[in-house]
Amino acid sequence: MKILVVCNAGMSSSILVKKIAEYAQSIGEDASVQAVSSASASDEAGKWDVCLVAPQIRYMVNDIKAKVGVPTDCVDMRVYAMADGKAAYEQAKALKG
Amino acid sequence: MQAIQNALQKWLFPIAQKLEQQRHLQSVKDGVVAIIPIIIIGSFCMIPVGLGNLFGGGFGAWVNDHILIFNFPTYFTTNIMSLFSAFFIAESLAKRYEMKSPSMLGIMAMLCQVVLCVKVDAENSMIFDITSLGSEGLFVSIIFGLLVVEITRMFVKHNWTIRMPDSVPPMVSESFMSLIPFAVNVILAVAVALLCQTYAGTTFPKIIISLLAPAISSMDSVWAVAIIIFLTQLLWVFGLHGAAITQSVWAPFAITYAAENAAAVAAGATPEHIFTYGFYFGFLQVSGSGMTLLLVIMMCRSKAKSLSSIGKVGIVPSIFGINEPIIFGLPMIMNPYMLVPFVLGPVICAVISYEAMATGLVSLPLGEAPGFLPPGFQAFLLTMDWKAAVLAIFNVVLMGIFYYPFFKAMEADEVRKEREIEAQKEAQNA
Repeated sequence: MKILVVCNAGMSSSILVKKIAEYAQSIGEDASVQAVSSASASDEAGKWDVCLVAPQIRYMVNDIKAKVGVPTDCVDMRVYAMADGKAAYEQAKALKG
Repeated sequence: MQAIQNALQKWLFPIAQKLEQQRHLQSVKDGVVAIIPIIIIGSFCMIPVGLGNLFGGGFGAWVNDHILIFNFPTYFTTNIMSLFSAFFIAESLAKRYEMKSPSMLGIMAMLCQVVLCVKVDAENSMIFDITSLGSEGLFVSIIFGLLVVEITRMFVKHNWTIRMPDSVPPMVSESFMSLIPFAVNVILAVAVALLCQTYAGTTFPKIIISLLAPAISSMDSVWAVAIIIFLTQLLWVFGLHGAAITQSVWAPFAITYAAENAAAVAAGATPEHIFTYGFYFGFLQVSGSGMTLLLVIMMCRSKAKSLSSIGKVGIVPSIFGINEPIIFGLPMIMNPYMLVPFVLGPVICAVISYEAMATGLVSLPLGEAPGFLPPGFQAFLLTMDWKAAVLAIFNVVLMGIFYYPFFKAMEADEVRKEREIEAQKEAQNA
Protein backbone atom coordinates (compact mmCIF):
# COMPACT_ATOMS: atom_id res chain seq x y z
CA MET A 1 0.00 0.00 0.00
CA LYS A 2 1.21 3.48 -0.83
CA ILE A 3 0.54 6.04 1.92
CA LEU A 4 1.12 9.79 1.69
CA VAL A 5 1.34 11.80 4.92
CA VAL A 6 0.90 15.58 4.65
CA CYS A 7 1.76 18.22 7.23
CA ASN A 8 2.67 21.90 7.03
CA ALA A 9 6.37 21.55 6.19
CA GLY A 10 6.70 17.77 5.85
CA MET A 11 8.83 17.79 9.03
CA SER A 12 6.71 16.44 11.87
CA SER A 13 4.93 14.00 9.55
CA SER A 14 8.28 12.39 8.72
CA ILE A 15 8.36 11.03 12.29
CA LEU A 16 5.06 9.23 11.74
CA VAL A 17 6.14 8.05 8.29
CA LYS A 18 9.11 6.23 9.76
CA LYS A 19 6.93 4.49 12.33
CA ILE A 20 4.30 3.45 9.77
CA ALA A 21 6.98 1.94 7.53
CA GLU A 22 8.51 0.10 10.50
CA TYR A 23 5.15 -1.31 11.55
CA ALA A 24 4.25 -2.44 8.02
CA GLN A 25 7.60 -4.18 7.72
CA SER A 26 7.17 -5.87 11.12
CA ILE A 27 3.91 -7.50 9.98
CA GLY A 28 5.45 -8.41 6.63
CA GLU A 29 3.35 -6.08 4.49
CA ASP A 30 4.65 -4.07 1.63
CA ALA A 31 4.15 -0.34 2.18
CA SER A 32 5.71 2.75 0.72
CA VAL A 33 5.18 5.82 2.88
CA GLN A 34 6.24 9.39 2.30
CA ALA A 35 5.88 12.77 4.01
CA VAL A 36 5.31 15.99 2.05
CA SER A 37 4.42 19.60 2.83
CA SER A 38 0.89 20.84 2.18
CA ALA A 39 2.25 23.18 -0.48
CA SER A 40 3.54 20.28 -2.59
CA ALA A 41 0.48 18.04 -2.16
CA SER A 42 -0.73 18.98 -5.64
CA ASP A 43 2.35 17.32 -7.16
CA GLU A 44 1.25 14.01 -5.65
CA ALA A 45 -2.07 13.62 -7.47
CA GLY A 46 -2.92 9.99 -8.14
CA LYS A 47 0.46 8.65 -7.01
CA TRP A 48 -0.84 7.17 -3.73
CA ASP A 49 -3.48 4.79 -2.43
CA VAL A 50 -4.45 6.87 0.59
CA CYS A 51 -3.49 10.17 2.17
CA LEU A 52 -3.23 11.00 5.88
CA VAL A 53 -3.26 14.63 7.03
CA ALA A 54 -1.58 15.92 10.21
CA PRO A 55 -4.03 17.26 12.81
CA GLN A 56 -2.53 20.77 12.92
CA ILE A 57 -3.65 21.37 9.35
CA ARG A 58 -6.96 19.52 9.59
CA TYR A 59 -8.72 22.56 8.15
CA MET A 60 -6.98 21.69 4.87
CA VAL A 61 -8.29 18.11 4.64
CA ASN A 62 -10.87 18.84 1.94
CA ASP A 63 -8.41 20.94 -0.01
CA ILE A 64 -5.72 18.24 0.11
CA LYS A 65 -8.25 15.54 -0.73
CA ALA A 66 -9.15 17.42 -3.91
CA LYS A 67 -5.47 17.77 -4.80
CA VAL A 68 -4.32 14.18 -4.25
CA GLY A 69 -7.51 12.57 -5.53
CA VAL A 70 -7.40 9.55 -3.20
CA PRO A 71 -9.20 8.71 0.08
CA THR A 72 -7.94 11.25 2.61
CA ASP A 73 -8.46 11.66 6.33
CA CYS A 74 -7.03 13.46 9.33
CA VAL A 75 -4.83 11.54 11.77
CA ASP A 76 -6.07 11.42 15.36
CA MET A 77 -4.14 13.83 17.60
CA ARG A 78 -3.09 11.16 20.06
CA VAL A 79 -1.87 8.87 17.27
CA TYR A 80 0.06 11.73 15.73
CA ALA A 81 1.59 12.79 19.05
CA MET A 82 2.82 9.30 19.92
CA ALA A 83 3.83 8.59 16.30
CA ASP A 84 1.75 5.43 16.61
CA GLY A 85 2.67 3.62 13.39
CA LYS A 86 0.29 0.74 14.02
CA ALA A 87 -2.80 2.91 14.55
CA ALA A 88 -1.96 5.13 11.59
CA TYR A 89 -1.35 2.11 9.34
CA GLU A 90 -4.66 0.60 10.37
CA GLN A 91 -6.40 3.90 9.73
CA ALA A 92 -4.85 4.00 6.26
CA LYS A 93 -5.95 0.42 5.59
CA ALA A 94 -9.51 1.13 6.70
CA LEU A 95 -9.51 4.26 4.56
CA LYS A 96 -8.47 2.29 1.50
CA GLY A 97 -11.30 -0.14 2.22
CA MET B 1 -15.36 27.53 29.70
CA GLN B 2 -16.87 24.88 27.46
CA ALA B 3 -19.17 27.44 25.85
CA ILE B 4 -16.24 29.76 25.10
CA GLN B 5 -14.27 26.85 23.63
CA ASN B 6 -17.18 25.81 21.43
CA ALA B 7 -17.79 29.36 20.24
CA LEU B 8 -14.12 29.97 19.47
CA GLN B 9 -13.80 26.68 17.64
CA LYS B 10 -16.91 27.46 15.68
CA TRP B 11 -15.44 30.79 14.57
CA LEU B 12 -11.72 30.07 14.33
CA PHE B 13 -12.05 26.90 12.30
CA PRO B 14 -13.95 28.52 9.41
CA ILE B 15 -11.59 31.51 9.45
CA ALA B 16 -8.58 29.21 9.12
CA GLN B 17 -10.38 27.34 6.37
CA LYS B 18 -11.28 30.54 4.52
CA LEU B 19 -7.70 31.81 4.77
CA GLU B 20 -6.41 28.49 3.46
CA GLN B 21 -8.81 28.55 0.54
CA GLN B 22 -7.93 32.14 -0.34
CA ARG B 23 -5.77 31.27 -3.34
CA HIS B 24 -3.99 34.60 -3.71
CA LEU B 25 -2.95 34.85 -0.08
CA GLN B 26 -1.70 31.27 -0.06
CA SER B 27 0.17 31.68 -3.33
CA VAL B 28 1.92 34.76 -1.98
CA LYS B 29 2.86 32.88 1.18
CA ASP B 30 4.13 29.81 -0.73
CA GLY B 31 6.00 31.95 -3.24
CA VAL B 32 7.68 34.11 -0.66
CA VAL B 33 8.57 31.21 1.63
CA ALA B 34 10.02 29.35 -1.37
CA ILE B 35 12.81 31.92 -1.78
CA ILE B 36 14.04 31.61 1.82
CA PRO B 37 16.74 29.06 0.86
CA ILE B 38 18.01 31.53 -1.74
CA ILE B 39 18.19 34.29 0.86
CA ILE B 40 19.92 31.93 3.29
CA ILE B 41 22.64 31.28 0.69
CA GLY B 42 23.00 35.03 0.21
CA SER B 43 23.19 35.49 3.97
CA PHE B 44 25.90 32.86 4.36
CA CYS B 45 28.12 35.30 2.50
CA MET B 46 27.79 37.62 5.50
CA ILE B 47 29.29 35.05 7.85
CA PRO B 48 32.95 35.78 6.95
CA VAL B 49 32.24 39.50 7.38
CA GLY B 50 30.61 38.82 10.73
CA LEU B 51 33.52 36.65 11.84
CA GLY B 52 35.94 39.32 10.63
CA ASN B 53 34.20 41.88 12.83
CA LEU B 54 34.12 39.39 15.72
CA PHE B 55 37.85 38.64 15.69
CA GLY B 56 39.16 41.86 14.12
CA GLY B 57 42.92 42.27 13.74
CA GLY B 58 44.72 40.59 10.86
CA PHE B 59 41.83 38.25 10.10
CA GLY B 60 39.36 41.16 9.92
CA ALA B 61 41.66 43.03 7.55
CA TRP B 62 42.10 39.94 5.37
CA VAL B 63 38.30 39.49 5.15
CA ASN B 64 37.91 43.15 4.21
CA ASP B 65 40.49 42.81 1.45
CA HIS B 66 38.61 39.87 -0.05
CA ILE B 67 35.09 41.10 0.61
CA LEU B 68 34.15 41.09 -3.06
CA ILE B 69 34.80 37.33 -3.28
CA PHE B 70 32.76 36.59 -0.16
CA ASN B 71 29.90 38.80 -1.25
CA PHE B 72 29.83 37.67 -4.86
CA PRO B 73 26.89 35.24 -4.57
CA THR B 74 24.85 37.95 -2.79
CA TYR B 75 24.50 39.84 -6.06
CA PHE B 76 22.74 36.85 -7.63
CA THR B 77 20.70 35.72 -4.61
CA THR B 78 19.45 38.28 -2.10
CA ASN B 79 20.04 41.24 -4.39
CA ILE B 80 17.74 39.88 -7.10
CA MET B 81 15.37 37.95 -4.84
CA SER B 82 12.16 39.44 -6.28
CA LEU B 83 12.95 37.75 -9.58
CA PHE B 84 12.66 34.39 -7.85
CA SER B 85 9.61 35.31 -5.79
CA ALA B 86 7.84 36.44 -8.98
CA PHE B 87 8.39 32.97 -10.43
CA PHE B 88 7.24 31.06 -7.36
CA ILE B 89 4.17 33.24 -6.68
CA ALA B 90 2.89 32.94 -10.27
CA GLU B 91 3.71 29.22 -10.42
CA SER B 92 1.95 28.59 -7.13
CA LEU B 93 -1.22 30.43 -8.17
CA ALA B 94 -1.23 28.70 -11.57
CA LYS B 95 -1.01 25.36 -9.78
CA ARG B 96 -3.90 26.29 -7.52
CA TYR B 97 -5.99 27.11 -10.60
CA GLU B 98 -4.77 23.83 -12.15
CA MET B 99 -3.59 25.69 -15.23
CA LYS B 100 -1.65 23.88 -17.93
CA SER B 101 1.86 25.29 -17.63
CA PRO B 102 2.57 26.72 -14.18
CA SER B 103 6.31 27.06 -14.77
CA MET B 104 5.70 28.94 -18.02
CA LEU B 105 3.59 31.43 -16.08
CA GLY B 106 6.38 31.62 -13.51
CA ILE B 107 8.82 32.58 -16.25
CA MET B 108 6.28 35.08 -17.56
CA ALA B 109 6.11 36.74 -14.15
CA MET B 110 9.93 36.88 -14.07
CA LEU B 111 9.92 38.62 -17.42
CA CYS B 112 7.40 41.21 -16.23
CA GLN B 113 9.42 41.63 -13.05
CA VAL B 114 12.53 42.45 -15.07
CA VAL B 115 10.60 44.89 -17.26
CA LEU B 116 9.17 46.66 -14.22
CA CYS B 117 12.23 46.75 -11.98
CA VAL B 118 15.24 47.13 -14.24
CA LYS B 119 16.11 50.62 -15.40
CA VAL B 120 17.86 50.84 -18.74
CA ASP B 121 20.30 53.64 -19.32
CA ALA B 122 18.95 55.14 -22.56
CA GLU B 123 22.29 56.47 -23.71
CA ASN B 124 24.17 53.31 -22.95
CA SER B 125 21.79 50.43 -23.41
CA MET B 126 24.28 47.96 -21.96
CA ILE B 127 23.92 49.43 -18.48
CA PHE B 128 21.08 48.02 -16.42
CA ASP B 129 20.23 49.26 -12.97
CA ILE B 130 19.00 46.18 -11.15
CA THR B 131 18.96 47.52 -7.59
CA SER B 132 15.13 47.36 -7.53
CA LEU B 133 15.17 43.60 -8.11
CA GLY B 134 16.13 43.09 -4.47
CA SER B 135 13.82 43.60 -1.52
CA GLU B 136 12.32 46.70 -3.17
CA GLY B 137 10.83 44.52 -5.88
CA LEU B 138 9.19 42.00 -3.58
CA PHE B 139 5.80 43.71 -3.48
CA VAL B 140 5.93 44.26 -7.25
CA SER B 141 6.51 40.53 -7.66
CA ILE B 142 3.44 39.89 -5.51
CA ILE B 143 1.27 42.24 -7.60
CA PHE B 144 2.46 41.08 -11.02
CA GLY B 145 2.99 37.45 -10.03
CA LEU B 146 -0.74 37.27 -9.32
CA LEU B 147 -1.78 39.59 -12.15
CA VAL B 148 0.07 37.63 -14.85
CA VAL B 149 -1.79 34.47 -13.87
CA GLU B 150 -5.17 36.22 -13.62
CA ILE B 151 -4.78 37.87 -17.03
CA THR B 152 -3.69 34.63 -18.67
CA ARG B 153 -6.55 32.79 -17.01
CA MET B 154 -9.05 35.34 -18.30
CA PHE B 155 -7.77 34.96 -21.86
CA VAL B 156 -7.82 31.17 -21.74
CA LYS B 157 -11.30 31.18 -20.18
CA HIS B 158 -12.74 33.36 -22.95
CA ASN B 159 -10.76 31.59 -25.63
CA TRP B 160 -9.03 34.79 -26.70
CA THR B 161 -6.13 32.77 -28.01
CA ILE B 162 -4.58 31.68 -31.26
CA ARG B 163 -6.14 28.36 -32.21
CA MET B 164 -4.31 25.83 -34.29
CA PRO B 165 -5.83 23.13 -36.47
CA ASP B 166 -6.17 19.75 -34.74
CA SER B 167 -3.42 18.26 -36.87
CA VAL B 168 -0.83 20.44 -35.12
CA PRO B 169 0.93 18.61 -32.23
CA PRO B 170 -0.42 19.68 -28.82
CA MET B 171 3.01 20.95 -27.67
CA VAL B 172 3.10 23.42 -30.53
CA SER B 173 -0.53 24.50 -30.31
CA GLU B 174 -0.21 25.08 -26.56
CA SER B 175 2.74 27.38 -27.03
CA PHE B 176 0.75 29.38 -29.58
CA MET B 177 -2.26 29.44 -27.29
CA SER B 178 -0.27 31.25 -24.63
CA LEU B 179 1.14 33.77 -27.08
CA ILE B 180 -1.63 36.39 -26.88
CA PRO B 181 -1.97 36.44 -23.07
CA PHE B 182 1.81 36.60 -22.76
CA ALA B 183 2.03 39.49 -25.18
CA VAL B 184 -0.68 41.35 -23.25
CA ASN B 185 1.22 40.81 -19.99
CA VAL B 186 4.44 42.16 -21.42
CA ILE B 187 2.70 45.16 -22.99
CA LEU B 188 1.07 45.93 -19.64
CA ALA B 189 4.38 45.67 -17.78
CA VAL B 190 6.13 47.87 -20.34
CA ALA B 191 3.31 50.44 -20.18
CA VAL B 192 3.43 50.58 -16.36
CA ALA B 193 7.23 50.80 -16.32
CA LEU B 194 7.38 53.56 -18.91
CA LEU B 195 4.52 55.56 -17.41
CA CYS B 196 6.24 55.52 -14.02
CA GLN B 197 9.61 56.47 -15.45
CA THR B 198 8.25 59.18 -17.75
CA TYR B 199 5.64 60.88 -15.58
CA ALA B 200 6.72 60.08 -12.03
CA GLY B 201 10.43 60.12 -12.83
CA THR B 202 10.97 56.96 -10.82
CA THR B 203 10.48 53.21 -11.12
CA PHE B 204 7.34 51.23 -10.33
CA PRO B 205 8.91 49.42 -7.32
CA LYS B 206 9.92 52.75 -5.78
CA ILE B 207 6.34 54.05 -6.14
CA ILE B 208 4.92 50.87 -4.58
CA ILE B 209 7.42 51.03 -1.71
CA SER B 210 6.57 54.66 -0.94
CA LEU B 211 2.85 53.82 -1.00
CA LEU B 212 3.38 50.89 1.36
CA ALA B 213 5.91 52.67 3.55
CA PRO B 214 3.57 53.13 6.54
CA ALA B 215 2.57 49.45 6.52
CA ILE B 216 6.14 48.27 5.99
CA SER B 217 7.63 50.29 8.82
CA SER B 218 4.80 49.54 11.27
CA MET B 219 5.27 45.77 10.93
CA ASP B 220 8.77 45.98 12.38
CA SER B 221 7.65 46.98 15.85
CA VAL B 222 7.45 45.30 19.20
CA TRP B 223 3.64 45.60 19.11
CA ALA B 224 3.26 43.90 15.75
CA VAL B 225 5.55 41.04 16.82
CA ALA B 226 3.72 40.65 20.15
CA ILE B 227 0.31 40.51 18.44
CA ILE B 228 1.53 38.04 15.80
CA ILE B 229 3.07 35.66 18.34
CA PHE B 230 -0.06 35.91 20.51
CA LEU B 231 -2.32 34.94 17.59
CA THR B 232 0.03 32.14 16.53
CA GLN B 233 0.01 30.60 19.99
CA LEU B 234 -3.75 31.02 20.35
CA LEU B 235 -4.37 29.18 17.07
CA TRP B 236 -2.21 26.30 18.32
CA VAL B 237 -4.42 26.07 21.42
CA PHE B 238 -7.19 25.11 19.01
CA GLY B 239 -4.93 22.57 17.35
CA LEU B 240 -4.31 24.65 14.24
CA HIS B 241 -0.85 25.34 12.84
CA GLY B 242 -0.53 28.94 14.04
CA ALA B 243 2.54 30.00 12.09
CA ALA B 244 1.27 28.49 8.85
CA ILE B 245 -1.89 30.56 9.14
CA THR B 246 -0.51 33.92 10.32
CA GLN B 247 2.49 33.76 7.97
CA SER B 248 0.35 34.49 4.94
CA VAL B 249 0.14 38.04 6.28
CA TRP B 250 3.55 38.70 7.79
CA ALA B 251 5.98 36.58 5.73
CA PRO B 252 6.35 39.12 2.87
CA PHE B 253 7.27 41.83 5.39
CA ALA B 254 9.67 39.67 7.40
CA ILE B 255 11.46 38.57 4.24
CA THR B 256 11.67 42.12 2.94
CA TYR B 257 13.33 43.12 6.23
CA ALA B 258 15.81 40.24 6.01
CA ALA B 259 16.78 41.16 2.46
CA GLU B 260 17.14 44.83 3.39
CA ASN B 261 19.40 43.86 6.28
CA ALA B 262 21.50 41.63 4.02
CA ALA B 263 21.80 44.42 1.45
CA ALA B 264 22.84 46.88 4.17
CA VAL B 265 25.49 44.51 5.52
CA ALA B 266 26.83 43.80 2.03
CA ALA B 267 27.12 47.56 1.49
CA GLY B 268 29.11 47.90 4.72
CA ALA B 269 26.25 49.52 6.65
CA THR B 270 24.53 48.23 9.79
CA PRO B 271 21.29 46.23 9.54
CA GLU B 272 18.16 48.11 10.63
CA HIS B 273 15.36 45.59 10.98
CA ILE B 274 14.64 43.18 13.81
CA PHE B 275 11.50 41.28 12.74
CA THR B 276 12.90 38.88 10.14
CA TYR B 277 11.88 35.31 9.50
CA GLY B 278 14.88 34.08 11.44
CA PHE B 279 14.05 36.36 14.37
CA TYR B 280 10.65 34.73 14.60
CA PHE B 281 11.84 31.13 14.37
CA GLY B 282 15.29 31.49 15.93
CA PHE B 283 14.18 33.39 19.06
CA LEU B 284 10.42 32.95 19.46
CA GLN B 285 9.88 29.36 18.29
CA VAL B 286 13.04 27.73 19.64
CA SER B 287 12.42 23.96 20.02
CA GLY B 288 8.96 24.47 18.49
CA SER B 289 5.90 26.62 19.11
CA GLY B 290 5.69 27.60 22.77
CA MET B 291 9.42 26.86 23.27
CA THR B 292 8.63 23.68 25.17
CA LEU B 293 12.10 22.12 25.53
CA LEU B 294 12.32 22.36 29.33
CA LEU B 295 8.71 21.29 29.64
CA VAL B 296 9.55 18.17 27.63
CA ILE B 297 12.44 17.44 30.01
CA MET B 298 10.06 17.86 32.98
CA MET B 299 7.66 15.45 31.26
CA CYS B 300 10.41 12.87 30.71
CA ARG B 301 11.14 12.89 34.44
CA SER B 302 7.50 12.96 35.50
CA LYS B 303 5.94 10.48 37.91
CA ALA B 304 2.83 10.37 35.70
CA LYS B 305 3.31 7.62 33.13
CA SER B 306 1.15 9.31 30.49
CA LEU B 307 3.35 12.42 30.63
CA SER B 308 6.71 10.68 30.71
CA SER B 309 5.89 8.42 27.75
CA ILE B 310 4.97 11.41 25.57
CA GLY B 311 8.01 13.33 26.79
CA LYS B 312 10.26 10.51 25.62
CA VAL B 313 8.65 10.45 22.18
CA GLY B 314 8.98 14.23 21.88
CA ILE B 315 12.44 14.98 23.25
CA VAL B 316 14.62 14.35 20.19
CA PRO B 317 12.34 16.09 17.65
CA SER B 318 12.06 18.99 20.14
CA ILE B 319 15.81 19.55 20.07
CA PHE B 320 15.42 20.09 16.33
CA GLY B 321 12.49 22.46 16.63
CA ILE B 322 9.64 19.99 16.05
CA ASN B 323 7.22 19.73 18.96
CA GLU B 324 3.98 18.41 17.44
CA PRO B 325 4.26 15.28 19.64
CA ILE B 326 4.09 17.57 22.68
CA ILE B 327 1.38 19.85 21.33
CA PHE B 328 -0.91 16.94 20.48
CA GLY B 329 0.32 14.54 23.14
CA LEU B 330 0.43 16.57 26.35
CA PRO B 331 -1.81 18.01 24.85
CA MET B 332 -1.40 21.77 24.58
CA ILE B 333 -4.73 21.86 22.79
CA MET B 334 -7.64 23.07 24.92
CA ASN B 335 -5.53 22.45 28.00
CA PRO B 336 -6.64 24.82 30.78
CA TYR B 337 -3.39 24.24 32.71
CA MET B 338 -1.12 25.19 29.81
CA LEU B 339 -3.19 28.00 28.30
CA VAL B 340 -1.54 30.85 30.23
CA PRO B 341 2.16 29.93 29.86
CA PHE B 342 1.76 28.64 26.29
CA VAL B 343 -0.05 31.72 24.96
CA LEU B 344 1.38 34.54 27.08
CA GLY B 345 4.91 33.23 27.74
CA PRO B 346 6.08 33.62 24.12
CA VAL B 347 4.61 37.15 24.04
CA ILE B 348 6.85 38.09 26.98
CA CYS B 349 9.84 36.43 25.27
CA ALA B 350 9.01 38.38 22.10
CA VAL B 351 9.05 41.70 23.94
CA ILE B 352 12.34 40.84 25.70
CA SER B 353 14.02 39.64 22.48
CA TYR B 354 12.83 42.61 20.46
CA GLU B 355 13.96 45.10 23.08
CA ALA B 356 17.30 43.31 23.50
CA MET B 357 17.93 44.03 19.82
CA ALA B 358 16.36 47.49 19.77
CA THR B 359 18.61 48.62 22.63
CA GLY B 360 21.69 47.19 20.90
CA LEU B 361 22.36 44.56 23.55
CA VAL B 362 22.16 41.82 20.90
CA SER B 363 23.16 42.26 17.25
CA LEU B 364 20.45 42.51 14.60
CA PRO B 365 19.84 39.79 11.98
CA LEU B 366 22.32 39.92 9.09
CA GLY B 367 19.88 38.19 6.72
CA GLU B 368 18.43 34.72 7.04
CA ALA B 369 19.72 31.49 8.57
CA PRO B 370 18.56 27.87 8.38
CA GLY B 371 16.08 26.68 10.97
CA PHE B 372 15.22 23.33 12.62
CA LEU B 373 18.51 23.42 14.54
CA PRO B 374 19.17 22.95 18.28
CA PRO B 375 18.44 26.02 20.46
CA GLY B 376 20.76 28.97 19.86
CA PHE B 377 22.25 27.79 16.55
CA GLN B 378 19.87 29.63 14.26
CA ALA B 379 20.11 32.74 16.45
CA PHE B 380 23.91 32.66 16.23
CA LEU B 381 24.07 32.02 12.47
CA LEU B 382 21.52 34.77 11.97
CA THR B 383 23.47 37.46 13.83
CA MET B 384 27.03 36.10 14.23
CA ASP B 385 26.71 37.29 17.82
CA TRP B 386 27.16 34.82 20.68
CA LYS B 387 24.83 36.97 22.80
CA ALA B 388 22.02 36.08 20.38
CA ALA B 389 22.51 32.38 21.12
CA VAL B 390 22.41 33.19 24.83
CA LEU B 391 19.17 35.14 24.30
CA ALA B 392 17.56 32.21 22.45
CA ILE B 393 18.52 29.81 25.24
CA PHE B 394 17.42 32.37 27.83
CA ASN B 395 13.95 32.36 26.20
CA VAL B 396 13.77 28.58 26.48
CA VAL B 397 14.78 28.70 30.14
CA LEU B 398 12.31 31.51 30.88
CA MET B 399 9.55 29.47 29.24
CA GLY B 400 10.58 26.52 31.41
CA ILE B 401 10.09 28.69 34.50
CA PHE B 402 6.67 29.81 33.22
CA TYR B 403 5.61 26.23 32.57
CA TYR B 404 6.89 24.81 35.87
CA PRO B 405 4.07 25.73 38.31
CA PHE B 406 1.35 24.96 35.76
CA PHE B 407 3.02 21.67 34.89
CA LYS B 408 3.22 20.67 38.56
CA ALA B 409 -0.51 21.30 38.96
CA MET B 410 -1.30 19.29 35.83
CA GLU B 411 1.06 16.50 36.86
CA ALA B 412 -0.58 16.18 40.29
CA ASP B 413 -3.92 15.86 38.54
CA GLU B 414 -2.56 13.20 36.14
CA VAL B 415 -0.95 11.19 38.96
CA ARG B 416 -4.22 11.26 40.88
CA LYS B 417 -6.14 10.05 37.78
CA GLU B 418 -3.64 7.26 37.14
CA ARG B 419 -3.91 6.12 40.77
CA GLU B 420 -7.70 6.07 40.55
CA ILE B 421 -7.57 3.94 37.41
CA GLU B 422 -5.17 1.52 39.07
CA ALA B 423 -7.32 1.34 42.19
CA GLN B 424 -10.33 0.58 40.01
CA LYS B 425 -8.45 -2.19 38.22
CA GLU B 426 -7.37 -3.70 41.50
CA ALA B 427 -10.92 -3.52 42.81
CA GLN B 428 -12.13 -5.35 39.70
CA ASN B 429 -9.43 -8.00 40.03
CA ALA B 430 -10.16 -8.53 43.70
